[in-house]
Amino acid sequence: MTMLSQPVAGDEPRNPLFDLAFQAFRNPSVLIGGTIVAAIIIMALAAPLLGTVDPVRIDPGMRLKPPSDLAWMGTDLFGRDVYSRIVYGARSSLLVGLSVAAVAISLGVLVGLVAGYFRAMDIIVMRVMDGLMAIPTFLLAIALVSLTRASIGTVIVALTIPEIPRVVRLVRSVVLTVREESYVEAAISVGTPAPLILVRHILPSTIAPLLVLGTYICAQAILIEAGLSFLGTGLPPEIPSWGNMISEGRTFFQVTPRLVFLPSLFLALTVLGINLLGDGLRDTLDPRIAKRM
Amino acid sequence: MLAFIAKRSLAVIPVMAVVSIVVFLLLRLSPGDPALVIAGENADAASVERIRMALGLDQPLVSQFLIWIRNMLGGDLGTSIFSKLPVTELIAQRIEPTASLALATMLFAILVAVPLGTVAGATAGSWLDRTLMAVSVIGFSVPAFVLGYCMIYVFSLRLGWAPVQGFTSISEGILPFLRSIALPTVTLGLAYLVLIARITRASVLEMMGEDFIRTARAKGVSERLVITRHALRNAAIPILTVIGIGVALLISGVVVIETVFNIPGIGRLVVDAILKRDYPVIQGVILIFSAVYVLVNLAIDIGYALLDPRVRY
Amino acid sequence: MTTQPPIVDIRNLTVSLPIGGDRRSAVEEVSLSVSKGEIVCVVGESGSGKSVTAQAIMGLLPKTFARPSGAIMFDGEDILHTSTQRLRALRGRDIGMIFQEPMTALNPVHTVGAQIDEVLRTHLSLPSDERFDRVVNAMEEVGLPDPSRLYHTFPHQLSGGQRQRVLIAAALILEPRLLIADEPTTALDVTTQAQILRQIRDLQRSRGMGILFITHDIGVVAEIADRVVVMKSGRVVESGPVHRILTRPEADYTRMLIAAVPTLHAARPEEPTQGPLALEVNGIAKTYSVRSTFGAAREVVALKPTSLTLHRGETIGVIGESGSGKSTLARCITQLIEPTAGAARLVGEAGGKPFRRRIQVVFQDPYRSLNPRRTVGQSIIEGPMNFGASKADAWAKARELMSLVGLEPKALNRYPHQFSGGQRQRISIARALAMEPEILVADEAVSALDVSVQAQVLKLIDDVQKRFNLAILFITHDLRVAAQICDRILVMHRGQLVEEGSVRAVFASPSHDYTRRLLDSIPGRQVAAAA
Repeated sequence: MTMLSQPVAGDEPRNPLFDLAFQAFRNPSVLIGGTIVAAIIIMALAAPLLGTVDPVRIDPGMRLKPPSDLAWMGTDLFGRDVYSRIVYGARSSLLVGLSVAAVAISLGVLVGLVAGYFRAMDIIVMRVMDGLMAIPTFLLAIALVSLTRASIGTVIVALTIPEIPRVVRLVRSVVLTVREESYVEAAISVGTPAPLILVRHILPSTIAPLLVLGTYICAQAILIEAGLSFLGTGLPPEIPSWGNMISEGRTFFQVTPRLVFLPSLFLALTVLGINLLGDGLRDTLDPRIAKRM
Repeated sequence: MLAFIAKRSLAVIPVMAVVSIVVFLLLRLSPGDPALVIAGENADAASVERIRMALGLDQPLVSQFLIWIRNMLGGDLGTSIFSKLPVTELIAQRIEPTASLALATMLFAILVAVPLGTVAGATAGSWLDRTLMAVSVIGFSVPAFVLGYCMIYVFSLRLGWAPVQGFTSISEGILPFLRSIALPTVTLGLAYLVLIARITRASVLEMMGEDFIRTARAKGVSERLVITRHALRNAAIPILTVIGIGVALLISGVVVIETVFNIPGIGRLVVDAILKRDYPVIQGVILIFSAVYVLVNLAIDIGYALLDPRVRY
Repeated sequence: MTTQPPIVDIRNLTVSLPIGGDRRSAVEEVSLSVSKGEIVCVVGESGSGKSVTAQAIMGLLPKTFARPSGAIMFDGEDILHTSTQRLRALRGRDIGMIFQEPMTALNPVHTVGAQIDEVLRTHLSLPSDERFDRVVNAMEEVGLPDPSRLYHTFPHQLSGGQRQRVLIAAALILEPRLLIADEPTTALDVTTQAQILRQIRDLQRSRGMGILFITHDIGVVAEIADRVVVMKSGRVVESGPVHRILTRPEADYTRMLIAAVPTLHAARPEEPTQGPLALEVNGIAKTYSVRSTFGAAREVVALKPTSLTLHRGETIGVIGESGSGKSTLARCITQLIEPTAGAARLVGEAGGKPFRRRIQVVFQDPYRSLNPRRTVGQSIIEGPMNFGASKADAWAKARELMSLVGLEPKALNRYPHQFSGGQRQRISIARALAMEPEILVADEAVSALDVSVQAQVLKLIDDVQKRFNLAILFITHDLRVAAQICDRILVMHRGQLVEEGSVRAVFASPSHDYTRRLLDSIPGRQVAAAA
């Protein structure tokens, strides 16, 4: 044993996660989607700096004006500046989308880890999740929002509840797969306690699929929020949101389709960007995720 | 096989139990007081109390739930607070447009999605596959109501090929019926179609890498049969699963699309009920929709056993 | 023997690999031929290009490979550069092929009969009753019991050996002139392997077809080959008649390959110097109850009550095929699963050492037993730190252990994917040793490794046993490996301990019928015994 052998590949430590991240950034879907999402986020954050006016200021003298130097996307039914409302509307959509994804994933991970690792909890938790999944997401959300007072908080809660089962199912299926891996048995046999095994050896395997699921939940939440607002049961009308704008615009759709199409365009573009990002991440990080969801 | 069907059917019970508890609690625990809504804003305290007692709202939650469950199992979904009609009757009046739309959409989506997804999966990486996938991401990102307005704008307002809104019953002739549901079907079906096509592609692609595909090729089987008889046939389970899960998408879509195209179906019914806080109607419709979802998925579960011998045990 | 014109003649076959890999080509300038009535074995370790060569003949290379160059002459026709239609007409009719994994090579949703029938439907137009008769005949010929009933079963209802017979029936039903067998017995138990090899040999003799047989196992070569082609890293190292290759190999690589094959000679002395008792297992048993919805729970006995004792410095081999209960025994003893009855007791002065520090496990699959997201150093120090070692001490210990198992201590901050299979298994051993255990349980610890690597890891296990006076429980399916490292062996069959004794005693005069069958099934055992 005089000659010590070298690792076969690479002289430097190569963390597989960095390798994956590097691959992900070379994926065209991730690049295009990421650029779109980044642009929308910057737009939302920098809204006051982008030549906008107060998005809720009503000016009866300026009703339904076509695009002009003053208001380059025109004005709406109440004389409000469409461009400013679209830029500020990005804030509502992103806030709802990101919060729903973040909350649903945090709660779902907790429940999923417990259900997947401790068999006794599994049956009960999964039956409840099956039940929740059977209730149509959209109806559950409108019912929840319309029965409480509409606010951004209630919309977020209402959209989060139906998404939790999807996270739980995903996390549970990852846990069930990973806990059969020999490296988990190896950790057990060197005396690692169960909570540490969950956090150290099992949780990291859920990161990649959860990142992908998170993008889908975010996109889904933005779409549902718009749908709720469109039906008049979403965000309160005084908050500028793309769904509210489309909803208000549809009365005059045949005369000024612009009021429906402009916010729709931004809505679709945002969701497209998030979906592209998600697809690209899925292809590079975890190609088998489709089966788990 | 029979034992398998029985087992799967029994599994429906806990799911529906959870559904009914959630639906019941959802409305009873929400801050709005139904009695106040019914009595109107100017009612005095005594009449509100009278209505509350008439509705059984003064009783403990558990007994309210039990009464509600008993009525439901007896086919009584309650009475609408506003129209005073039984909820079952309201739903029956509105079922035709919704059922027509949903069935037409499923047919349309499956018939288009499965062939497209199969071709894309078998030729993964080709220009056809890339185009289909690119279009599919876009299809996934456009909200149904936006798509609906685009459709109305192009096909109804500009080209005049379809009526702008409304629904014509099949009893008034097949052609007017088809004309009236064509746009809503395509609008509602797009997201569903994309969902099915993507899973079909992914599953067929995965199956194409399986060992038994190599065996089939080694037997000299033609590529077309390798794809259909071996790859697609084995991909059937995930495809069926997503068709089942997608029913939820369809139900959510129906609610919005009926508003966009002004179709007098169950979706409109529930949206109106929600705006007016007509509790029994909301509960009834959510329950019916959930039951439909659960039953469709039960049928699909049983379908697995027909398609995959490993499931029958 | 080679006076016959070759059925298939591969000339200068080169298959390039996609750019960016660590090798330019999977197969380089390979030439070999198979004549009527002979079995040619292509033997090599993983990465030798033997399977790629086989797939190239059938035109079944994965799309990622570039178009191969050279020529493959089948009956005088170049099939490397022919149309897909022509190739498809040849497949199944003139060239049959069977594969390594009988579990996945059959389509799970069609009956096995239909899958054999598919060959007939593809190449002939016959009425269905005639096809049925031919399929049943073909199934009978490969020794499948009750073929007209088995026709309607699905693959998951058959055993691995039966599935491989179904695949052979499908490959041979049209009496092809060439059969390509790509590691057809590797995934099977050794007794099944022996039956299938005999079957292939018999069918080949009765039909006079040529067979190209791909394998990594010199024992199988000795059993079945007429001629041998040895491949390494995509090139032919040497070729010749089987007797010449096995007895007078010319290439160093071939010599190494043959030398690395463990022989059946017991490597250890008959009367080992026994240390103090380390482990006492008393009537340990495991029963699973499979719940069905209706009716009572069904009991599946994985392990019948089993007892054994293990001393310091001693290695006991637990031998058995799949389903024998040997892994269940290991997992019960190491408390990875809860036994239904009985107990394993660690004997001796523990000095307050907890169970997990006293008994350690090395697992089978080197690709799955290390967490891919953690550096190997983190994996090694995990155990000691669980029991209160300081980080500095644990790292110092890990560095020491790395050089002990023959790896650079600097490599501790690398990730598992940067190591080869053999290196990972060394790391797993280091991880186990970090706990300073008295007992090491090796669960098929060398089964996934190439023979040359296997020999090195076995030597390492031997070394560390001497150094730390370890008691080792060595679980394996391979009698040849057991002979190298064990003092005593236990033979398990269907959850039961059927035979126990010293290696020499058991090999010389097996008392149980199953042990005899196991010994008779070892491929190339005449060669192994002669060596």
